[in-house]
Amino acid sequence: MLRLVRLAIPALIGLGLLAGCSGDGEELRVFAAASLTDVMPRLVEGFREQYPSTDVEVAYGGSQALASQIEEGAPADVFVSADVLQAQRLIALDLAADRLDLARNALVVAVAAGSAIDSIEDLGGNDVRVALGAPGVPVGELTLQALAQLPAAIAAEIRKNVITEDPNVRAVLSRVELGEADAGFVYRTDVTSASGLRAVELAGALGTAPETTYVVLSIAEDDPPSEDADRFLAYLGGPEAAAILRAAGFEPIVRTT
Amino acid sequence: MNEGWTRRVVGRGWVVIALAFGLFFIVPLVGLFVRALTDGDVGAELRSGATWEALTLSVATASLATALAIILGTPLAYLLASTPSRWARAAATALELPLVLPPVVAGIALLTVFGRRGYLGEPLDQAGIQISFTTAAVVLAQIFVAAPFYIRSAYGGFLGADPRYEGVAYTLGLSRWQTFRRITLPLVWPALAGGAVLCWARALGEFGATLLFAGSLSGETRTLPIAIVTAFESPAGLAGAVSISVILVLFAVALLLVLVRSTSVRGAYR
Repeated sequence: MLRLVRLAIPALIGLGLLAGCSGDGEELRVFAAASLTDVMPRLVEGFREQYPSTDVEVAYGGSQALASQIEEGAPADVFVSADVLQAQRLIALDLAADRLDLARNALVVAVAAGSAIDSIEDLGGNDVRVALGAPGVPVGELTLQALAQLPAAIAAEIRKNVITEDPNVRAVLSRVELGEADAGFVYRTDVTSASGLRAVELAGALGTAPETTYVVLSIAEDDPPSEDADRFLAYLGGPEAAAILRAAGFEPIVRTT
Repeated sequence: MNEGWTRRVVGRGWVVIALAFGLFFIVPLVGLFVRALTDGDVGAELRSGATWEALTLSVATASLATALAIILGTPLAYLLASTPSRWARAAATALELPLVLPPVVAGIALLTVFGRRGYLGEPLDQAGIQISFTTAAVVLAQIFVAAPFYIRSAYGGFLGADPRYEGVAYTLGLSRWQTFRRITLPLVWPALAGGAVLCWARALGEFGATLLFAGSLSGETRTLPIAIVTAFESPAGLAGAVSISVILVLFAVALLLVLVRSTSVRGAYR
């Protein structure tokens, strides 16, 4: 059932968001990338211990989809993008007030806990089924980068084993969870939050693993961002949030200022 | 006098509500077209090989699914309608269940049977036959989700056909097959054609079950609705998604017009 819910979330992005628009001013509305589904409630909980009077409502979706919705006027106070590109897009449109680079998340290969797959080269083997993100979709682009770093012959072997190029990372993860694929290219945190799965790190085989940077924006079209949004950004940039993020498999970005 | 006035206002109110409701369907579609023309690039999508691949795959699979729904669904609907039993009625109701299932659930249900670890999928996989994540899975997902529209319509048609016509045909010496072809089929033709069009349209728009059960590979399993959602999650974003959507809508309208014309009630009795 949980798997089903996870699958349904990316598939139904938008619908819930659009239906959930209310005019309540006391509420902090956060649009967060789908890959934050597991860690965000913990961050919100920590934030609310400090500011109990602020209600926080989080909507999840693909970063691209969320950015489009904000562009369309969806009422978000804070946007957490899994992709620098989408954050930059909103900044270019003058929709963002403040920016915080939150954390990094590395691309890994998710396999079943008992799988014999130990390195990216194993993905080219006989009878191995591989799921990845579609080209253009953030996780798909990172996967293309990873494959480009491999010797061409191995990359070609892996490509032959690809059974699906999915629209989002949760869909990729579900293939491995359901046993339909032996391996899927996902973010490290996706594996941390899933049960029965193990992450095969890419850093060893590739030198450096492709990674994505999470960027937090306070959204303000006409007025300055709400006080609550400022506070939330400050909390996310603090040491407590960093600890929560690290526990979930993210690499918090240490601020020098 | 007074009563006539009331009736006139009520009469007009009725028309206003009807027109407003009609606009509820038309305005969003107009918005989609305006959006595609201002933000999107329909021409670029039309020239894109990936979009054509998705379009031809969608049309081919939806048509195959509809053909199979007709070939296999017509005898099923006829059997159920001509069996005067409580069980037949219960079975007819059960066949409508896929209509209420969210498509994602339909996809999971199909995986439990035909998936790599499914009841049939696992032994087939060991025999070297793969169903999930193939074009065949796209067709199966579409049949599962869309064929009930056809079966339901055909069942209603067969139920409504007066059995006395068939009885008379038998007494006049027509065989069972002749009776079915010359008497029953013309009687139920509008129901069959209407059901087939609905089935085809639903299959063409199928997304949730297909993505889950068949995946998304260009040219193999990425149908147009999946291509639209993929575009929406890529940097092309909304602009790309609406451009492909417009192509889907235009194509569906064109084909539906042709289908409705060629299967109109008037034509059926010719």
